[in-house]
Amino acid sequence: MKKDITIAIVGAPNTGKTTVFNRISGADGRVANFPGVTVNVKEGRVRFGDKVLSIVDLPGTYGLASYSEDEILTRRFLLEREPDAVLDIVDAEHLERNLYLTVQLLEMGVPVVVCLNMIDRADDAGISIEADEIARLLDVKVIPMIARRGKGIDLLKKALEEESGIPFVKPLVIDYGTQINAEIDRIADVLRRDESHSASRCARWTATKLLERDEDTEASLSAHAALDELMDVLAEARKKLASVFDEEYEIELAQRRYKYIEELAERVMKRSTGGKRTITDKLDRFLTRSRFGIPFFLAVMWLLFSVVFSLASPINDAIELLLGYSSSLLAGRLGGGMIESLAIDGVIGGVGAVIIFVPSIFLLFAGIAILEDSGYLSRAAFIMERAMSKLGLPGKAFVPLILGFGCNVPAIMATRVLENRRDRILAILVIPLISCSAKLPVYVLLIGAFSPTEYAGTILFGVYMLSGISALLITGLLRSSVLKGPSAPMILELPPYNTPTLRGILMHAWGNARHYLRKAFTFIFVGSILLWFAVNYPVTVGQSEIDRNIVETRAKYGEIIASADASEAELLFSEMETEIEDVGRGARQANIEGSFAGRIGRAIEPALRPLGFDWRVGVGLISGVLAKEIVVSTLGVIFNVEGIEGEDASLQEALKKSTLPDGSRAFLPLSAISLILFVMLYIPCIATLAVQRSELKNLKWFLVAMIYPTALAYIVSLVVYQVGSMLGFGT
Amino acid sequence: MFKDVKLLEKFQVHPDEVNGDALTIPLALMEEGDEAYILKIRCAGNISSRLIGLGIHPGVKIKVVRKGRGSSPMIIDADYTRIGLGRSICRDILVTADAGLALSPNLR
Repeated sequence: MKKDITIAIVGAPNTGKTTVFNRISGADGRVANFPGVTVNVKEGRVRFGDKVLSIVDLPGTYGLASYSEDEILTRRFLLEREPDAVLDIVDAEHLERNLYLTVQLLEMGVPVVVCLNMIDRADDAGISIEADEIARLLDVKVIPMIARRGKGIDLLKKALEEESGIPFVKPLVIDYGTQINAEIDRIADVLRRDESHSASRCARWTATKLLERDEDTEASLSAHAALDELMDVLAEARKKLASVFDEEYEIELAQRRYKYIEELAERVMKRSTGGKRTITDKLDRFLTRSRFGIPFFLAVMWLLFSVVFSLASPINDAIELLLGYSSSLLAGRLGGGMIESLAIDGVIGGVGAVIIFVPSIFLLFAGIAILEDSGYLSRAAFIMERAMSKLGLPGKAFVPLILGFGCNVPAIMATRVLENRRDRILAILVIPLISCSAKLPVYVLLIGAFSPTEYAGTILFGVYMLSGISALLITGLLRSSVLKGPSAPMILELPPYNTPTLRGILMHAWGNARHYLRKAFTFIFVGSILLWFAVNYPVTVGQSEIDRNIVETRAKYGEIIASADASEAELLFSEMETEIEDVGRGARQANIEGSFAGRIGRAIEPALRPLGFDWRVGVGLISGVLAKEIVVSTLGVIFNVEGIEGEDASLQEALKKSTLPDGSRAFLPLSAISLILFVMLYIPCIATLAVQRSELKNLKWFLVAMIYPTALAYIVSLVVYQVGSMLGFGT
Repeated sequence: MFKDVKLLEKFQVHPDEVNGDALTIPLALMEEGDEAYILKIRCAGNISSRLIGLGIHPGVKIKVVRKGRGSSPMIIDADYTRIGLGRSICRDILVTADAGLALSPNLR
């Protein structure tokens, strides 16, 4: 009988949890060196022999208290989903601290397999560990490994294959001292009375959590049959222990646990004198000192964006060539008309405009992966703490904000590391102001069209800085108005510096590029087709009417040309050609104006004119709600559909040359700046809105999240365009 | 290790907690390079449990690696783990130079 087996991976941040997950599930995820970056639960399915394994990567936690949502999520998963095996990833270099989680898992009675990871680093630090001895003393499987290099993974897979699939095993009993033991036993007895309740299976562990005043555990017992008696016993126990231990018996529980671990460690671990931390010490001497660290951090960010821009541009040129080539291959082969237009303008034009930015996104995420995996990102959070706290956010929040530069969706999910609810709401509201990589195509397009190439990188950096600054300003504003209150104090692990592996960087970069592509292909493919439809229908001037007009024009000139002399005829002939061209252009103009897209754009144009946008930009902005990268493909479709004769022009050229009906230029540098600012600030994309909704869990805040960015964008663009025009930049 | 006893008042350290020769002071008063043992954690319960999960608990020897100006956070090394702690938390952790005192009498 085939059976699905659920395997949960738990462990503290920085233990290589995600690496183990990737190694056994084969799925690509990301190595997170910053505590809490892996906040979403990842699941991978893999077949071992005749079993199907469902492997779940739980968020990194240091313990099983309910300090953060990550811990609560991990604990609930273990209690409610009852996994068949729990892989506890233990960082061998920090054995004692990591065993704190292991011991709690064992107390809980879940079937633990200990992965003793990074034994090479422990070796380097002068630590030797006897894995067999741990296995014997704790009665668990212990697998030494170096997950980064794939060592020990086969052993682990074998251990998983042998897993029996019993969700609960005999719990480990820790000696908490006579008085506490007695109270634990009394509470556990009451807990066991309701056999249908899940707490009865790990009664002792639940009792210790209750004594530790764990609110989530207390809430989980609301349906317990003996609730009233339980609360009485608990209150009495707390009172008794508080008098014995001077109000601090919770710490006493932790102390006893550590005492147990220390004794265990003494038997299994040897530490030769002076482990080496020299490189970390030397680097931290500079990087954590704000006088040096903050400029260094800004330089790193500048370098990142410059490199991304300069490396991506030759690759982009190549892709552009390839796209042009495939369009030219199709041209004329699909019989002209609607189908060909759909294939070239709708599909190749629209989706191609998105693919072209994959290199930038890949490189950006590779850069972020290097920062994360090297251990530098948490230093950045540390040196930003003071500046951030002035704005009312913990330094920790800097990382979700930084991730926002990649994609707002994971960034908003990463705010789960913030313990304080107010901090979270604040971060979730301001993250969309931080320009994500999907906005990069829009910026690159506009900057490239209206500025010299040699300044493009610097201008792009400026745009990103500005988006960061606007986010910080709004944070300060919200914190001092609607979201008052102190933020959670900083508790942040600074892992030793580490050389990131190429594999880790590539996986991270590719995973994100793939995510972007997926989004691009589902959102944008459908978006492009819909837009192509919206732009082409309903038809105002049909092809037959155009043909008739051309025939009429020809006939009209034919008579005159026939009766004219040679030199006059030539002049008349070119006059006729121009008139025929005008017929075609006029028809296209009429068609796009009469289309659904044109009508919507026209309707909102009066509101957009003061910002320097015409109706076509309006259509692009509306489509950007679907996903920001669509702004580019929409502009592509609209401007290509309008057609610039005699040019195989890229969209940038098309933008530069587009005109208003009165013949003046539609797009000037000032309107490009205004548009960049508008795109930077206005309503986030549908995917971001979706996570905002689910993470805010509050309709009022969600409405705020939806409305305020657009209002802000409108005001900023209006001021910039109007003031700019007054100063004479509008020509 | 501890120079300015008057500062104790500022940190509202109860006189009972200052134990003669082996002075007890908040972590926030330690300077860069100072070493001491954690005696007591007086933070809110949820913060305490996170600290304990990170290996910061009474009896552990710590060293201050970085202490910036004003209210900036501190970096401390505890049991081979490097941790950044907000200054407000550092004010709520009491330390002592006396290893024997740091360990709970119930464990000895």
